[in-house]
Amino acid sequence: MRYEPVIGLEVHAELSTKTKIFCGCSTAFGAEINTHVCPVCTGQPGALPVLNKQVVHYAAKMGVATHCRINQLCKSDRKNYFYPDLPKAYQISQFDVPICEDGYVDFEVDGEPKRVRFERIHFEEDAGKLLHDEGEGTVVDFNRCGVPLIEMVTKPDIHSSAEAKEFLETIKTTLSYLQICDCRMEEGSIRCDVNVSVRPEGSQEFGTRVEMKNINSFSAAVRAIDYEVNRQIEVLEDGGKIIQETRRWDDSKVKNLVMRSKEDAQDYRYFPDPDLVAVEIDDAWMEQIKSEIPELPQSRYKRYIQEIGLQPKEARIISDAFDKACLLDEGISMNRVDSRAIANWILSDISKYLNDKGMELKDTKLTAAKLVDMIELIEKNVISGNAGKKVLIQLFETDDSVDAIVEKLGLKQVSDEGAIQKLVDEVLAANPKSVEDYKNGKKNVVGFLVGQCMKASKGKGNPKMINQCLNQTLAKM
Amino acid sequence: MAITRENVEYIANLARLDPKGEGFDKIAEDMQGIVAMVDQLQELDLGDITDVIDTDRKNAMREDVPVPSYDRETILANAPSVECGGVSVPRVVE
Amino acid sequence: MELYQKTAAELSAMLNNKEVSAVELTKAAFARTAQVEDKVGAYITLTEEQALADAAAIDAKRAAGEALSPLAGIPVSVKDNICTKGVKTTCASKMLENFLPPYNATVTDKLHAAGLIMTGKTNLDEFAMGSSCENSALQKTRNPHNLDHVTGGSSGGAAASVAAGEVSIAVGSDTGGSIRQPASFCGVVGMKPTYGTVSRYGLIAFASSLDQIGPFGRCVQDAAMLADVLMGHDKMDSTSVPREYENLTAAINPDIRGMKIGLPKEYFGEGISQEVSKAVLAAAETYKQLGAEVVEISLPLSKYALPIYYILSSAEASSNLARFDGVKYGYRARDFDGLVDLYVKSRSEGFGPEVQRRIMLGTYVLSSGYYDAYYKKARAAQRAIRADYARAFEQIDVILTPVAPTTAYKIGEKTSDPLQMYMGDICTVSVNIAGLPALVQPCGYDSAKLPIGMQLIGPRFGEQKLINAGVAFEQASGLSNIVAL
Repeated sequence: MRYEPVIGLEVHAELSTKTKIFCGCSTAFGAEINTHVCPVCTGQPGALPVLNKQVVHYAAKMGVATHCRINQLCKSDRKNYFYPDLPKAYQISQFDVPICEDGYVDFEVDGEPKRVRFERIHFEEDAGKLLHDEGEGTVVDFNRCGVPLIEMVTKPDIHSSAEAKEFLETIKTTLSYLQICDCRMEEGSIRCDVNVSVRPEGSQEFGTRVEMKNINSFSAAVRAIDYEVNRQIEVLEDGGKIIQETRRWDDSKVKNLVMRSKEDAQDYRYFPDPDLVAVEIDDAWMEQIKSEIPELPQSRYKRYIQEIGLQPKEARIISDAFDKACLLDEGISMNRVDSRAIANWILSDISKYLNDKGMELKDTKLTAAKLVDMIELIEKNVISGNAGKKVLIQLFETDDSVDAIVEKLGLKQVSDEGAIQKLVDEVLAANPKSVEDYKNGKKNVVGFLVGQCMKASKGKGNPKMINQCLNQTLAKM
Repeated sequence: MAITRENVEYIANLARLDPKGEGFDKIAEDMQGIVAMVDQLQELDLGDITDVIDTDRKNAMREDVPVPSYDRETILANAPSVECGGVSVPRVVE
Repeated sequence: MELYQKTAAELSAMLNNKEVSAVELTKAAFARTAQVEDKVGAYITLTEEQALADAAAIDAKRAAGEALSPLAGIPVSVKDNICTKGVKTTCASKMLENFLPPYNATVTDKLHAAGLIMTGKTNLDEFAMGSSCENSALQKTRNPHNLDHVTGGSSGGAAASVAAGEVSIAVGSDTGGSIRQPASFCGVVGMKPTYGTVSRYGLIAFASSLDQIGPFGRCVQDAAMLADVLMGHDKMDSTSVPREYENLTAAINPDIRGMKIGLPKEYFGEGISQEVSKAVLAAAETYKQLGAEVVEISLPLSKYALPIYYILSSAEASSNLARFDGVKYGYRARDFDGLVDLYVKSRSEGFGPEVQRRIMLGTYVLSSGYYDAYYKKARAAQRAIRADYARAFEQIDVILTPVAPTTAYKIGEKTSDPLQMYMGDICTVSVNIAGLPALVQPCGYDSAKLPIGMQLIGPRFGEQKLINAGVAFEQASGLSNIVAL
């Protein structure tokens, strides 16, 4: 029998606010243990939470970007359970009225369009970190307590690990476009829990669901899903039954183990947090949020293919990176050079430079205007494409204008017809054998002669013009 | 609603209290009477109850502006057991 | 007349006229405390050294001609569930017996900013859960009017410290009557302000949606003066109400002619002792003579107030008190086997039986399968009670009721049956459920010479009406500034 996996994801993303969700402590990653702490985030008796407005703003932004209905009146609830990383012994989250509901994202998997629907998006506080020493104990670091999260819960619309991977990539790209999450995977800014069941292909009923926790990267999600799907199929094939339970993924061993069964399922006793008041996003605030949503990756991806003629792969590379897409679109909007040329520069030399240096565009001094200036000089034959590469390095690293760089490096190419003709005449005079060969039908000597001309001009001759001039002169001989 | 021994143990477990602890039998017994008292509410007919969000007060929010944190020593001063700069608990196996 | 017998208003005038210094007042307060504390047991912690230093600082400021607030230099006691940085804050629980808060409650800062001199931390029922102060795990407090009787609770230490003249004013907290009932039992004035008018930041929470800090005094004006210090918006408390807080003391006007006073018939029936009813009805007569109009009203949902209160307060308490787990602060069991055992033992050994009962009830009403029948229903009923009061206040200015079914009972009389103890809260809990302000003051004595109190309930933010009516009654009855012992 063939089986179809049915997968739902719960994705947690840390919001890139400056301060925690309920107090003014910093959210910066990597601080020394228990230094970003105060009475509020360590649950001292009597301390009270005050909601960070930016958290609401960011959560709603994600909701709008993913076509959710925004509950303009929502509230905070307590989820009660005991754990050392949860100092109040309840997590402030949202239960029955999350800030966003019923959305979706569209993306492509192997060129096929795919839609995954959202059940909900809500905001909540992160827990602390448990550090295990070599000895008997566990030590709790409260720095992460109260770092704001959004939890995004999908409907069970995903049917393969490949779809899950693409979905996660789409979420990541969207978060970075909205500039609400650092998306640093190694710091755990995006984490996910996976719900997996399988059913016979063609069946409409759902199989028994298993939840998997502790998945720390997208590639781990793929491995975990593949493992769990196979495990469930094997159980069923052997005539067994799937048990509703929570399993913990161990990525180093590439397997999962039971964490808890349905019987000891938690009773979280959610109720509205009496320390917090209702959140109301009025229409003016909603408009503000909507106005901050940029054109999203999917839309840019399609536009780059349709309007610029990029290959899907190329369009994806640019649309996946908000800064690159912005660079391209800003360049295009200037309407001075060929859009395709801008894209090519971004896909080749710009990407290579950033990769080599491990930098992002914002870490460099390159601007769209200067990139366009540079491309324009190439288009107008003022500099060669090769010279452009040299200019680009300077554009990354200095504040100089393109003209100043070209001047400074002496990159202006010789495009004066008289000068080119003189150059050609000199080279032809110095290479009578080649001229003879040409006359005898060996047309390919032109390449050699162009090279000689370039060499004679110390690389500044306009190769196109030299080529043209050579051909004309030889033809007349 | 009648409170069974099973109820009591289930609740005690959720609340991390010891149903076998000293004096707990009396606590469990008292719960019967207390639950019977709060059950009086059941006779009050309020029609269909929908959860509503209390809007007496709304939007008590702060701007995203950092405030200095506390010293680690100050925050951990009351902790019964501290190791390596954090409160310590028996080893947690996830 | 000794200094300890004077009201805060009188002391304030003396300080202003340089007839006495803050240091002298503070010394007098501790001298009186030394005299009576053995019998009364109002305090868990005394902070004499700090108090004298603070008083000297105030005297220096006064000498330098600095503008000081009216209560600057006057000693005040603070209930031991309000955080005081570096000063033990125990909630009268073994759980927090040695807890030194790393920060001040907003009201602690406010008291300090206004120049009040904190004398120490007063006893309470453990985590403010109780109505007699007998649930304190750390201290026994006795009623200064009769040492065999309870002070009431939970702010029993605060009420007793004022009644015994250890201080003229005190800060307490009220979740279901915890200021008002002990004020009544001890023959002093106590006010529970409108929910949201005094910051709860740093008040160790019992039931967040019901808790409210408020003042004690031996006269209404003193309570008003302290309320003026305590009330105000605080951005650290999301439930704090941003509004103009007008000075209650400055606006005192005892001319209450034309004021409409409602007597809810549900508060004078079964379960309320004859003596209490009679004294409160006599107060109503006094009001008539003062020119007020007294009308009978009905608050039909009153009988449900007690179940609503115990559901909501216990539910919130079960969550609020979950943080006491033996990890970050407070009591940790000596022997345990693993994490869960650490939690269970620390909590079972650290919390007293009443606290455990409430945590159990609260966990039960929130648990899967019971939430709708209890918690959700209680919230809906709470809205209905609010509507009940709103309707009543369309016709009247204030409501007059008894505070408790009886006067202060004997120590130990009700400790065996928690339910019987809960019944003592029937007159006070609906005020918290509705978030309203209420003022309690003495209106007579029973045959055993124990004080009887009356309760004036006002509409939201109606503190001024309560204060005015309270002062008017005080002047007419002469029942003011009663020092026991």
